[in-house]
Parts: sequence; structure tokens; C-alpha cells
Amino acid sequence: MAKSGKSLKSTGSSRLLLLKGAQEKGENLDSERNDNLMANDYDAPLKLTELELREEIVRTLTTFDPNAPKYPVEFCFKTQGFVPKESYNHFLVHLNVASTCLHRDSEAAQEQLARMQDPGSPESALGAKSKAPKIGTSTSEEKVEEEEDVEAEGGASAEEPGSEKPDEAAAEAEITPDPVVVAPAPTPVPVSVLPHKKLTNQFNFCERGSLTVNNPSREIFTQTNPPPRVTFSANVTQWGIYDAYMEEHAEQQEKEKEKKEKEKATLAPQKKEETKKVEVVQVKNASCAPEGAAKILERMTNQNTYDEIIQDFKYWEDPSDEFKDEEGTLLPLWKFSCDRAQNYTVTSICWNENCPDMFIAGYGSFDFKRRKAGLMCVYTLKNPSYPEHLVFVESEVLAVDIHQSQSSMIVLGLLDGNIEVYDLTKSSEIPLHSSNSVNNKHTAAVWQVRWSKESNQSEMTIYSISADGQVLSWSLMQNEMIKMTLISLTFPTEPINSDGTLCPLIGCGSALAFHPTENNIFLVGTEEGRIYKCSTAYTSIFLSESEAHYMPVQQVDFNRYNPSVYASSSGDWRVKIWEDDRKEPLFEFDLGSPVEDVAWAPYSSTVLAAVTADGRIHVFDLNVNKYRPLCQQAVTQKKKCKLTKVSFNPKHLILVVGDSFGCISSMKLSPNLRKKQKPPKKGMVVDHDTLEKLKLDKLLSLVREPNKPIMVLDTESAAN
Amino acid sequence: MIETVEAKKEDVEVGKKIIHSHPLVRHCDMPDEMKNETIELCVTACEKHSSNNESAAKLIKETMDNKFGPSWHAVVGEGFGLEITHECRNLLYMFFAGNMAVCVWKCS
Repeated sequence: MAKSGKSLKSTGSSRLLLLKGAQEKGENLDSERNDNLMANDYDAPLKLTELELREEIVRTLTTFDPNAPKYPVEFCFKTQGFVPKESYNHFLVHLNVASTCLHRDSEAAQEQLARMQDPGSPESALGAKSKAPKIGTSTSEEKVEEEEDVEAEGGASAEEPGSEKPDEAAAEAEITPDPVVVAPAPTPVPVSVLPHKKLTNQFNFCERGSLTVNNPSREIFTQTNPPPRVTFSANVTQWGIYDAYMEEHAEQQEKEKEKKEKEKATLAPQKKEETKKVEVVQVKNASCAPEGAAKILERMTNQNTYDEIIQDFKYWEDPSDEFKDEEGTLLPLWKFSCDRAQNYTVTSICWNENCPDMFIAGYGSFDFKRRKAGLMCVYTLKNPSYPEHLVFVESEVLAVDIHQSQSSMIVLGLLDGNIEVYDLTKSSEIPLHSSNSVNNKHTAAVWQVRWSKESNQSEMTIYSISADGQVLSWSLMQNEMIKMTLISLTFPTEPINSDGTLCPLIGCGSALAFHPTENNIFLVGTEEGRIYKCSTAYTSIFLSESEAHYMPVQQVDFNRYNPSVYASSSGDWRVKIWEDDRKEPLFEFDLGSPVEDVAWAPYSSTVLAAVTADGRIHVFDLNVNKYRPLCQQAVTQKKKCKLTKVSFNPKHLILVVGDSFGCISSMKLSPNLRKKQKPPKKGMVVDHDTLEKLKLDKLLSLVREPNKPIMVLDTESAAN
Repeated sequence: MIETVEAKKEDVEVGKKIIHSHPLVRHCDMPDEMKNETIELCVTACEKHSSNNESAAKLIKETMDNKFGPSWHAVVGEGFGLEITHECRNLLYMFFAGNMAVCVWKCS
């Protein structure tokens, strides 16, 4: 700013430029010469002589503003004339930056240094405190000095260094950027006193700043796939539309044709059967219908394999019967066995009344020491080689029954006291209902189960008899079976006083039969050989009771035509036929071996069949022979094989017997065993039922007359 | 050749007695539910505006927009050609009433 002028020497080459620059700056050049130069400028390049080139043009930089008017005047209204204006400010401030720096030699800097070097000492702290106000004053002083300085410099006379006061010089020195120029100022505080510290910068300044770390910003972007697009093109024309419709029409017609053909194809095998005149019982109930073509095929194959048996089943009549007079035979037909049931005993058989070609068989074991899982098979006469359904249960099956109207509903009575209900149309694996819980079951083996025949009831009911002496009725609710005790089989004897408490004796139920017409009447046989007649209406009173046998009653069965007559079989080798309100049996047959089962024939009022443990079946027709069976036939081949169950087909003239080796044999009754009763007078039309009833009544009247028990007949000896 | 053509014509004449008025789907990649709904819509629209294809198409388009989101396009006519780009599973091309073609597609 306040610099003394410097002479510039310009060489010839740069002269013109310099001249121009001078012109611009308003250098006080000779105006005439300038004019010449300017004039020459247009004509030709300036040519200077040697002398002129050598001439030194001295120029001086002054602090005066060249543009400043030399003689400024002012109009003075007072004097009504121009008055010369005296001062003109040549000083211009282009930049004014207040510095934060202190010169290190300044008083303030020294104080700061002292403080920094010994921040801990109380003296310095005190000193700092005492000097603190001084700093304020000194800085203000400095400011004042600076202002003065500026004024001084701004003034035209500020050029003479000599006139400067020593204060001003010091002030100048403070603000001069080049500290080298400044003469070493006397240091008020000796630096040597302070511990020497090398200053990297003579301006001892401190800056305290910190910058927090900015959270780094990131850019994340994704782009989804645009939805997939497809191009499609079509041409719509009237003929195109027409063709399309025609095509579709033709296709539909073809389909219809195929459908018709299929229908024909399904009808065809049925026609075949008709032409062959092979009687296969028609499927009446949808639940028995084979599902799928595989089943049809299987049945067809079986039909071909067992063609002879089918022919026998339908047409064969034993010609020898005509000559035998009374005796009849049983023609063995199919044998039903299943690999899975090989080591089991057939414990129960039940025919399906809606599909007379179907029956179910329960498999278990009478060897209670070895417990195993149970099995139930559904067989059909149409497919004797393999059961239609297999139902596996946890415990051995002892009793089965099919519901009268809904033949897919099957109830199983198990050895462990449980009762399970299956709906074969739904599942043959998971029971529809099960009594499998601690309280809701029999406490001993269930020997017999029966569906209730009452059709007016909304829910289905099951009756069961068990060795725990209870006859229970089970109502099938939505999710559970609710049990109700029908009757407890108590003994008429006084309760036994064994250990101070009175225990009524309870009979173990083993057989259960329901009245064919009256739904609430039923017969119960016990293992003690007693037979009770009970009603579901009275839970504590027996309608009648009798000591029928000496050994467990195996089976009781009502006569279908006269329900007041019933048969019972027992382990004491006997089959007895009873009538209501009669203490003694009407008939008594000794079969020479424990009688496992007895059944009345559905087609006749006087025919009944019994199976014995020695593997023989005995068929009686009381109308023909009151003392001996018409047929005694050994069914099993093996010695140890017992027959355990017998059951007549409800429609066809066959019966099935089950044995202890898990095999079920079906047999056809020869003509002598199913003699039809002729009407009492020729030409009288009497229906079958009344005829049979008449026949039985006639027979009964014969038996009743002596009103004393018929002697025990030893059929064994009679046969021999 | 002529004979066969004639025979065909005869066949056609026999078939002509049957008037096909049911909707016949020629091409569709919609889900079943959407397809059924769209067919029903097209049929009702065409029956409602049997004389004005434009308003039928407009009705179809607007209803589809409301039901299945925007940017549906519909073409209704007796003769036209089209080459379109559509979003997958959003196209129905069907004939109706024996002489009409309806193409509905979505492209946004």
C-alpha cells in the first residue's frame, strides 16, 4: 500500500505496450507527442531512431489518483461563486480483512504463549486473570491505532517516513505482511524465560475445531422386471369365425359319439353275463359297487377262474338226494381266505342284507394268552380270491355287524372291550367312531355287537354284550359315542360276603340276540350257562331267565318265523331249542363236541345249522327228523381245525362256515335240506311266511303234547 | 376337386341349420375365474349393444378397467386384423353370435 515509487526501465520491444498502458493510466506524457504517436499508429509501424531507442524514460508511480481532478472547485452559495475544493481523497480501500492472527512479539501474543506453556500453574492462571482485561484494552488500542494509521495513510502527506512517530512505525510494523522488514522489536517479556519451543509458524495461533464424522450416504436402487408381455396377432374374418364354429361343432359331435360308445362298452359286459346266463347277484346298493375298472376286471377274471363253481352255485342239485329219502348234503363252493388272516380264527360272520353276495368276517383269536392285532375282511361272492376291504384294528375282533339299511356302516367289537364303527364308503383305516378311552368302553372282551333295527330313531344305536356282565347301548352322536347301560347280568343268588363287603355276582355275557320283530326284546346268554330274556325298556328286571346249559352259552338265535322259539348252543355239546314261558327245552341235541354256533335258516322255520369244535357241521330240519340231523358233514381237512361260526345267506341257498385257521367255506344246501312246505290243500294260495309258521306250529303242537322233556338224544350213537 | 367342394357345401348346408350363438373362445391365457367373468361380460356387452360395436367395446373396456385394474383394450367387430402386445395371462380372444369377434387384452 504505502510503497515508495520504483523506476521501471522498458526495453524497446515493450515500449509500445508500455506507452499504451501509460496512456490508459493517464500517465502524464507529452500530449503532443502522444498525438503524433497516435497519428503514426495508423499509418505505419513506428520507427524510432537509435537515439530515441536509447532514451530512458523515467516513470514514477505515485500515490496520487491520476484521474483525480487537479483543481476541484465547489459552488459556494454564500459567495455566489466557485470556491476551490481543498482535499481530495486519493485513498481507496479495495480489500479490508480483519485478521485473527497476532504477531508473536505483541503483548497479547506473549501472554497467550505464557498461558499455553504453563497452563497448570496457578500463577499463570492468576496472571491470565489479571491480564485478561488488559488484553481487551490492548486490542481496542490496536484497533484505534489501526484506524489512525488508515487515516494517516489516507492522507496525502503520509509519505514521509521521517515524520512518522515511533508509535506509528510500530503500528505499521504490526500490519506489514513481511515480518523480515520489521526491525526486531524490543520484547517486553523475555522469550528465554519461557521454555523454548520451536514454533513451526511464527504466528502463534491456535485453532480448535473438530468435525464430526458425517454419516456416509449411499445410493441404493433396484429395478423390477417389467411384467412379461407376449404378442398376439389374429385376423378376424367372417369365414374364419364360421369355420371355427363348425370345427367346434364337429368336435362336440365326436365327443358325444365317444360317450355313447363308452356307455355301450360298460353295458356290454352286463349283456355278456345275461347271455351266458350266469347268475351274479346284481348290485343293489351303491356302497357295494366296485370302484374303478380294475375291480371290474378282477371280478371278471375271478368269474372266469371260478366258472365251474358259479355254475354249481346256480344250477347244481345233488341228484342223489332223490334216493336218499331224508338225508342231504352240503356242496362246498368257494373258500375265502386271505394271506393276512392266515393265523387268525374266524370269530364272527355277518351277511349284508342289502347285498346278499357280500359278507364281513371278523378275525381274532380265542387263544387269549397271545394277543395280536385284529382284522376284519369284507368278502364278496363275486371275488372269492381277495377281500373287498381290509380293516386292521388294534385288538382282536370278536364280533361284527352290518347296519340294516346303511350297509357301509360296520361295527366291530374288540377283545380289549372297545367298539369301533367304520364307514367303508369313507375310510377303511380310520374308524368313524371309536370307544377308545378309559371310561367309555367295556372292561372285558366284547362278545357280540348288534345295530339297533329301530328306524325311527334319529341317531344310530349299537347294542353290545361283554364278559364284564354289561349290556350297553351306544348312541352315535356327531363326534362321540354315548354309552348307556341296558342291563347288568346279576345272579339271583345272595351277594357273596367275601371280605366284609357284599359283592353281587355278575354273569359274563357271551351271546346276544334281538327279537326279529320287537326291537326292544333281546336274549342274553352267559358264560355260566344262563339265558336271560330282557327288554331295553327295563334295565333291572329280566323278563325271564333260565339255567339253560352247564357250560358257556355260545350262541342264541331267534326263530325268524316264530320268535317265541329260540335256539341256543353251548360248550356242553348241546343245542337246545326253547319256547317262551317253558322251563324245559323243546328239543335238545347232543352233538358230541362243543357247539360253537347255531343259526336258524332264513328260508325255513324248522331248519337250523350248528357247527362243532370237531370240524363238523350239522344241519337239522325238525319237520323231517326231530331226532337226527339231516346232514353231518366234516368241513375241515385238518384234525385240529375247529369250526367257529355258521351263517346262512339271507337270500341264496348257501351258508358259510368259518374255522379256526382263518378260512371261510361256503356251501350249498342240497334239495333235501331245503324242502318246501306244500300248501295244506291243493289250489290254496298261501304265502311262504304263513306256510312256514303253520309248519312250525304243527311241529310244536306235536312236541308240546306230552308236556315233558324229550329225552336227550345222542346223535352220535344214533348215527352209528 | 369341384365335386368335393360341392359335397362340402352340402355338408355345410346341413350344418347351417344349427345357428351357433354361444361364445367360442379361440385363445385365452387368463386364469379360469377371470376368463369366465370376461366371457360373461363380453356376451352381455355384445347383447346389450348389438347394433353398436363401439359402445360394446367401450363397455367392455371400462368394466374390465374397474374390475382388473387399468389399461385394458377391447376390440369388437366382424372383420379386422390385429397384432398386439399384451401382458401375460391377460388376453381373451373369442367369437360370439356366429359373426362377431371380441379381443380383450391388458397392456399398460
